[in-house]
Amino acid sequence: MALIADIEKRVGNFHLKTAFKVAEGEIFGLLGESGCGKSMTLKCIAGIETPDRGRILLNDRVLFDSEKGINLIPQKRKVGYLFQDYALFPNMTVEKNIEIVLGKRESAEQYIEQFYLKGLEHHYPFMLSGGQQQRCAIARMMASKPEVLLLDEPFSAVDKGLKWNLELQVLELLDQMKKPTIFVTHNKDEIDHLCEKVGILSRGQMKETGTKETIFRHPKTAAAAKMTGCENVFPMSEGEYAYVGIPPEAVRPVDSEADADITGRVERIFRENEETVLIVRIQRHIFFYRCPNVLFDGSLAVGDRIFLAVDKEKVWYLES
Amino acid sequence: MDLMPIILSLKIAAVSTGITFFVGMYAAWKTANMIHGKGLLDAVFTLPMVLPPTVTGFFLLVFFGKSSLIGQVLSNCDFDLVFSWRGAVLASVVVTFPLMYRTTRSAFEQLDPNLIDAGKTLGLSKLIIFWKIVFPNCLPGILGATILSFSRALGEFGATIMIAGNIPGKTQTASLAIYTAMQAGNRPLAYQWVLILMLISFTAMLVMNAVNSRQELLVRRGGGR
Repeated sequence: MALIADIEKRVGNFHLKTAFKVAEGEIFGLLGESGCGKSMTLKCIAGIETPDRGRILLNDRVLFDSEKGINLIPQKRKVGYLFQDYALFPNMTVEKNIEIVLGKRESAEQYIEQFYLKGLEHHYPFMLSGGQQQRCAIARMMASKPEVLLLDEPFSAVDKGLKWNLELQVLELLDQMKKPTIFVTHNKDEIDHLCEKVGILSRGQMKETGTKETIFRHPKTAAAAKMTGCENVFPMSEGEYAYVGIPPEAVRPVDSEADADITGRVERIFRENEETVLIVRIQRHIFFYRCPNVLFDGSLAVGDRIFLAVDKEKVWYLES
Repeated sequence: MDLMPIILSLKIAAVSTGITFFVGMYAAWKTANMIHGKGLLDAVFTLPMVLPPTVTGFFLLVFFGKSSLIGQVLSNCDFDLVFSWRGAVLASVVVTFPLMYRTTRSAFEQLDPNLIDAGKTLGLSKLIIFWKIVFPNCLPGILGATILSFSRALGEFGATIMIAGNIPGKTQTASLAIYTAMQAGNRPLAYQWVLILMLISFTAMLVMNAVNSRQELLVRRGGGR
């Protein structure tokens, strides 16, 4: 019982090529910058877009197979799609939004209760808060009895203050439903909170897949390192790896140029909540040096030279 | 006072609007979702709007006249178009079709495509998606298009006189009656029809605005784009 996708699609000079597998009850996070093909991947699985080549299997059903000429219409795929803006039908109340999916078979009552929509049955979508809209969209999606859930950046339209609530809400619902789920986002933290497995998508190519721990702790590609929040990724002119990533814990300041691996000039200093970020210019490159506020003594000013040592054991060697 | 012209006008406008409503909406729905050949079809569909109505009427005569193949077939079925109120309906349909088609298409194109995609992934049939989601959410645009078409049909002159003629009591509509009255030097009669037509058209526009603002309250907030 799983979803297996291996698809390719060309649109103009954008080339999407991705392959992955999502097991029963697993939440697979698809991480990538905007425009990398995350949404298109979901739309291919849902049948809204048609891949040029490849296969999509869901629980032993073939949804799409270019070689055998199979291409199920979206209506027959049993794929639940949670849109970024929820796409609730604006002309229908919460109850009607769910009823239209159920037809005459069942009443919406059960879904309204399960997704905490009691008292909102006769509200139109525009009268609902972001969280309520999301619950309604999830209830409607579940009413179609999907076998896999696709969540397209469900938190991007939400204020930061509300995000925790929504994440907890989604996590609780996903726990109840136990369906294979693909969760698409450009935010590493959301993946951290919700998913066990991650795929890194960059410019249409699936760069890495694996458990959250392995990819976040030690990425193997430059795209993965950048997406997981590493600010210092530099191309290497020689050696077998194309890039090197320097995580914050690999860097420490030293007093003299003799001990330093990196020498540069401080271009800007930002004070954040916990850390001070020094923007260091090293020739053509910009290096981000994060120093905990408690350790930053204020002796460095903009324009000063800074000496940093890099622990080579902790550095990531990355493929492009 | 002979009420026949206005009765004929309303009858022809109502029947032709009924036909244009479905045909125009269908054409709009099909072309809104087209990828190839959209520009060409659009040009063909819009042509009657920019052609002089007499030219439209001329082509209608060529295609549906007694000497044409279609005209003969129809004549054998006792369904005359030329010099009959049905011909006036045909003329009105052709002339109002671009209005219905263009206005509804822009309403369809403004609809959030995610709503349709959501409907599909939820397993809703194409018919349900259209009538329960697309249609109600585009209703202000569709109603506007319908009222516009009706008003245009009511004032149709050029194409009508070409194919249906100007036969009092049979094909003489209110707008043709104005022309005839002026020709005969009967100004009071012309004024009377002018006033009636203006009143009807003005009321139609008022109704359209009222419906639009009501619909906007209900639908547009939070929905569409």
